[in-house]
Amino acid sequence: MYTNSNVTNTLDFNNLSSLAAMSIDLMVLIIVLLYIVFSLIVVRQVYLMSNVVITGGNKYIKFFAWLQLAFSFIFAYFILSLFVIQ
Amino acid sequence: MEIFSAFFEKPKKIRFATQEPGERIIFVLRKAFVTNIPWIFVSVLALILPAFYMQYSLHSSKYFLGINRRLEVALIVTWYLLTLVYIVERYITWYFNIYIITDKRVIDIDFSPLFSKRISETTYDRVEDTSFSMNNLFHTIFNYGDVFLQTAAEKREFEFHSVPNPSLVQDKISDFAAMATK
Repeated sequence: MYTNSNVTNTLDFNNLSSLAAMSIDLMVLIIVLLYIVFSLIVVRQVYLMSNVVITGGNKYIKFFAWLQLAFSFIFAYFILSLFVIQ
Repeated sequence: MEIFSAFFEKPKKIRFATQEPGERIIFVLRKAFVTNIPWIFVSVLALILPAFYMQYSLHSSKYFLGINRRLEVALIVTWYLLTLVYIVERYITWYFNIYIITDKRVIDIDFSPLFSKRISETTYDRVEDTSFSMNNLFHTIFNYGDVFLQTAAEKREFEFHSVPNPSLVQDKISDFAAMATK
């Protein structure tokens, strides 16, 4: 018999279907992957543009682009450990 | 700081790929840095907003809007990543959108970090008319505006948007155009 006491306001993954939980994991994973792709594109574009216009500031922008790429991988590792390898 | 500057007059350390021997750079321009303020403001807001939410979330036994902790982390991570993408995209676009004015030609480099780059140029003998506009209070206070070049080339109009010192830039281009047509 179904009773109202079983219903809470909080979404609980134990009560959710595993499909819903997996889809959230998948969504985060896709976003992190897209972020890595974006970071790679930024590195590539920064190098391309640095050859078009050569300025003293380009080395900082290149460093920043690599830093962002490194950060995206560290972030991906963090997210994987949090969401997938549990 | 060079990475935040928008106006370089006769820069010694700047070159470009198609620069000819003996070609001197007169100006290198980006949009005035003050034009970045709206997206910087949005970014700062976007960065601190989850902190307010987390403050609420940590001090509350109930989950906000019924959101599970796992989903909460997922949403915050997504939020911060999108904010970072936004900041990087805006800054790189500003940094690499450059107008170069040399003693031989005018070059407009349009850049989009995700999609494309486009380089247009015209020589001074093709420049028919130049003008500039400072349309609002911010333009006047921070001394930036748009410079327009009418040309006889395939690309009819060059527009330098929100560049610093537009009157000086327009004057210089006008001088070079006058010399080229003599």
